Amino acid sequence: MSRSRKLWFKLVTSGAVTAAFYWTLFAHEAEVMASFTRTDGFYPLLPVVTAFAFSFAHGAFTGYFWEALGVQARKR
Amino acid sequence: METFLALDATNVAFLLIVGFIGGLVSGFIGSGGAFVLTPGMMSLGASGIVAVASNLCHKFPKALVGAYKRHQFGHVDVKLGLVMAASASPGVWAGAALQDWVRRSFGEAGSNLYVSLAFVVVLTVVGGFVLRDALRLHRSGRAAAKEQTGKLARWVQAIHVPGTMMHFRTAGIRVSALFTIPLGFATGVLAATIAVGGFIGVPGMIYVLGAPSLVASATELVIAFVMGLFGTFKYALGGYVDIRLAMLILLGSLFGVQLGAIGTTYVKPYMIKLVTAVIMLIVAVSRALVVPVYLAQLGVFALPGTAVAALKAASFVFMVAALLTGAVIIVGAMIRGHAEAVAAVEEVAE
Repeated sequence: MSRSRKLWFKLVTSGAVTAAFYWTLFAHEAEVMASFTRTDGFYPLLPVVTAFAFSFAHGAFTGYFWEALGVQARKR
Repeated sequence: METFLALDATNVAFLLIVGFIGGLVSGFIGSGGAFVLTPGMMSLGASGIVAVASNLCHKFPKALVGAYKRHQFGHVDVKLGLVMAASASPGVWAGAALQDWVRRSFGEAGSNLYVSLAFVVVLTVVGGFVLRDALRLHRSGRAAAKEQTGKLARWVQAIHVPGTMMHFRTAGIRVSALFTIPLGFATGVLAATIAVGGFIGVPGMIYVLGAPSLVASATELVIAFVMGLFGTFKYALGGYVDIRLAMLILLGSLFGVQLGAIGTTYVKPYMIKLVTAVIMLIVAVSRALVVPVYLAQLGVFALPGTAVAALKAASFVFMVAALLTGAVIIVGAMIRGHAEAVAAVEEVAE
């Protein structure tokens, strides 16, 4: 696979995972809010774990997004 | 039980845009966005504590992504970040305890006045100092040259206390922990007071420890990550995190933080100081505008309702202006830097 095709593949994959995460969050808004604001057991860990998961998927997507647009760090 | 606000299209658009601009500034100067996002969420109807908790929950993953990106460019001193974060954590605790004491002793208005005065004093003093340095560098024509270590930092680096010396390779400095501990602690106290510890952390690493500004602004992201992670968990134990708000801000801010981090590779070091100073000074004006409002609430003098509303509106406009000004300078500097880089490559090719 050429370099640009690889980039597009990564962009689409990470974008799809990110979209799935956001869709799940808002399609089940009421249930999510009910369990994410519970203060017993391991429930307080839910926002922390979710933030990590979203940032890995969306962080990868935004990185590939700028790269696909040609916005890259200057090489010195 | 806390009630959480309903989201409509306008709210969502607002969170996405402010998130993006906050992320852009954060990726560039190491901190930013929090001082607009917290009041911004409160203006949408979220309670203060939910706004702070949700802000922290978007902040630590954003800082992580920003730190990772800038680590790839070789800007992050992980050891310095972790050492500073270790003393920043008790600083956050002390700052929160102080905040709590002020609130119990002087009420809501007293607490708001304390926060605003802390903003005005710290930002004016530190922002003025950073601006003077940035302008001096620019005028002297040494803007493109390597940064020079300041007098204070040279003195700090010259002090050798056996058993406390630490070497930070990326920052290229060797200093005593006796200096990093109070600096980290102050960063934590400020983070707990005004939600932006970086306003002490970044200038502190540059002018007290002698770290280059590129390394200081990148390393601040490590400190923000650690403080944000623990802060989020602490608020989640009380059920205060609105994950929808946090993830919506994150949606915009990760685009911004990547762009801001890339931007640092195109600009001369003094630009980071200039953007930091400009934002700090505009935010100081914004907070100074609401000081009379809180003084009136404490009964020091009377203020008509229209004046209160006008001052609050002007304050919010200044805060948004601070972020927008930062964003415009960053994007402008990136475009100029990119054009120069392209011209240099073409010159070599010829």
